[in-house]
Amino acid sequence: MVRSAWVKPMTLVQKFEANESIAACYEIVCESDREGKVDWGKDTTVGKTNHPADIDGSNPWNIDDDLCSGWITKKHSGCKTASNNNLIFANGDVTYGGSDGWVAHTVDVNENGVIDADDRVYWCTEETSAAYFWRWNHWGTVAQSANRS
Amino acid sequence: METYHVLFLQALGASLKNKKVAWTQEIPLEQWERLFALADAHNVLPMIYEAVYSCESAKAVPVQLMGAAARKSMRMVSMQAMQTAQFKRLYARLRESDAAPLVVKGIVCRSLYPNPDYRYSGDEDLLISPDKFHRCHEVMVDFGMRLTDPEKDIEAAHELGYVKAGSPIYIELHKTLFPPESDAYGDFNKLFARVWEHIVETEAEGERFLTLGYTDHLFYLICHALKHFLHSGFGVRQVCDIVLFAKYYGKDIDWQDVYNRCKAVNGEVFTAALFKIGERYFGFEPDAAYLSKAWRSIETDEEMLLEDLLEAGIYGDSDLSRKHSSNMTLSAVTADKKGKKAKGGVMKSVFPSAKALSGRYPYLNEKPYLLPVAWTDRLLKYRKETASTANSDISESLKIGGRRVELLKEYKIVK
Amino acid sequence: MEQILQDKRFKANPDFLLREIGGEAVLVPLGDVGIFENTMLSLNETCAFLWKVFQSPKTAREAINEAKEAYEGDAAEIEQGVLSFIRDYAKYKLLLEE
Repeated sequence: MVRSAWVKPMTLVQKFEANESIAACYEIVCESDREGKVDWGKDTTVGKTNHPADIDGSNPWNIDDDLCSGWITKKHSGCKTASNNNLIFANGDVTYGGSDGWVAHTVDVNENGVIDADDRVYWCTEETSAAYFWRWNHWGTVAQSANRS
Repeated sequence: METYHVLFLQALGASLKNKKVAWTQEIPLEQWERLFALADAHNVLPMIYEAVYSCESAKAVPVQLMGAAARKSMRMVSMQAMQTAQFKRLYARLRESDAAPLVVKGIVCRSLYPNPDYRYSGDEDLLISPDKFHRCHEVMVDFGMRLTDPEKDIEAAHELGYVKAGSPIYIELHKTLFPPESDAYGDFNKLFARVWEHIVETEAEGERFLTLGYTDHLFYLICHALKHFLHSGFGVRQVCDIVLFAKYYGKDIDWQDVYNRCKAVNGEVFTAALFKIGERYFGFEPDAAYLSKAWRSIETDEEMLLEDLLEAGIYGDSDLSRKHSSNMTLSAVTADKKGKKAKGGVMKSVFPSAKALSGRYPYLNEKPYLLPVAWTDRLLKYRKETASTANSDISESLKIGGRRVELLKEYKIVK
Repeated sequence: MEQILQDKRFKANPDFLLREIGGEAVLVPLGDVGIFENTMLSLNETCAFLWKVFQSPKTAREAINEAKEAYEGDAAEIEQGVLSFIRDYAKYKLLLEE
C-alpha cells in the first residue's frame, strides 16, 4: 500500500457565523410606539376598518395612522419582551411560529443575503373571535440572543 | 429537460449508490450554478456536492462557487448530525417513560442512505396514540422542548410543533397521520386505522426505534408525497425515500395491500410513475424489491411527473406563485371526490370557502358570513406576501394551478 | 516521551462526531461542549486519522506505532506530532483519559 506523507496534525476551529443561525440565536423586540394598540381591525357592529400598514420599508406602521387608541390591550402588548414574540430565525430566514400571525416583510439592512442581526422585520399578530377581528403591526431590529443555553 | 436537470439526476443517482460521478466534459459555469441551486432547493446539496466535487469537470469550477457549496454542505451535515444526536437522546427518554411515539419517516428513512447525515431532514415526525399523548408531552417538556405555538390548544390540535432553545431540533408530534379536517386527504387516515397493530422496532443509526409496520410505512411515504403533490409539488428526497424504503424492506412489504390502498386514494398511477423514476434514475430494481405484477403492469409516462418534481423545489416552494396554486389543485381533488367535474376554477383559488380559511381565521367557524372580511384580508396578505418577491402574481398562480390540474388528470388522481 | 503520557490510555470524546464531506473532515460537537458550542472543527488528514485511531482506547505509544505504519516520514516528527495531538486534545477534553 502506498503511504501518504506525514504532515503535522492541525485543527481549525470555526465558529458558526451569524447567517448560519439555528433557532433561538436571534431575538427581536418590537420598536413600534404603539404597544398594545390595535393597528387594523374589523368590528362587526361598527363595520369599518382602520388603516392598513405600509411595508415598503420607508413607512413602518406609521404611528400617525393611529385611529384606534383606546382599544383593549391584548396579549400582543408584550411585544417589547423578546420571548413573547413568536418569530423563528433559522437558515438565514425568519418565519412566524404560530397560527395567529405572519411575517409581512423583511429588510436586509446589512445586505448579506440573509436575515440576521441588524436586519429589520415587520410582522403582524392577529386575534379573532365571533365579534371582532384585530391586527397588530410590529416591527423591530434583529439582535443576537444573549441566552444560548 | 435542461442540462443541469440531467446532471442533477446523475449526481443524485451516484450518491444513492455511494459513488461519485465521472464527468470529464466541459460544463458551463451557469450549469454548475444551476446544479448547486437546484440541489439546494431540494435540500440535497451535501449529497450532490459529495458526488461531484472530485470529478474532472469540477476542476474548472471557480473556487468561490465550489467553496461555497462545500461550506454549505458541511454546515448542513453538521446541523443534521446535531439534530440526530439530540433526537436520539430525546427518544431514549421517551422509551424509558413508556410513552414512546412511533417514528415516522425522519431517521428511519435517513438511515437507509449511504451517508444518513447528508440527507437533510427539517424535522422529526412522531405519531402518538391518544392515551399516551399527555405523558409524551410531559417528557418532551421535561427534556427542554417547548411548543412553537404556546397558545395552541394541545387537546384539540392534531399536530404540535416543538423546538428546544440552543438546538436545531424540531419535532412534530402527530395524533393522526393526516389533518382530519382536510377535504382532500383527511380520509387518508381511514387507510391507517390498524397502524397500531402492526408496529415494528427497527434499528437506525445505532439505536432502536418504534415505527410503523413496513407496509404501512411505505404507504405512508407514498401518501405523504401525494399530499405534497396535491398542494403544489413534492421534493426529490421523498422519491428517494420511497425508492430506498422499497429496496430495503421490499421482502416484508405486502405489495398487494399497498396497491389496493393506493387505488383507494387514486394514487396507483402516481406511485407507479415514482417507481419508474426510481428505476430510471436512482437504481431501483423492481425484482430485488419484490415489486408485484400488479404494479409492473401499470402503464404511465413518468416524465411529466419528473419535470413537475424538478420544478417544485422542496415542497412546491420554488416560487410563491406555485405555492399559491395549491388552493386550485386541492379543490380539484375535493370536487372530484364529491362527484363534480374537476375544474381549475378561478373563483375557488382567489375566494376560498369558509372551511378552507377557518384554520387561519377561527371566527369563520362560528360566523361564516364574515367571509368577505377574510377574503379581503387574504388578498391583502397575499399582495403583501408577494410584494417583494419576483415570480409571483395571482394570474401566474392560476396558470400554474390550471397546468397542475391537468397533471392530476394525467396520473388519474382526478377525472 | 513524557512519563505522564506513557501509560495512560486515551479515547475520543463521544460528544464529538467525525463527519467527512468533499474530502474534508470535521468534528461536530454535540451536547454540553463548553467553548466548542456552535463551532465546527476542521481536521487535516493526519488529524482525522488520529481521531479515528482513538475511537478505541489507546496509549500514546500505540497511536504512534499506528501512525508510523500508515504514513511516510521522519520517525521523530511523527512521534512529536502524535504527542502534540494528544496533549492539545486532552487539554480541551476532545480526548478523554480512560
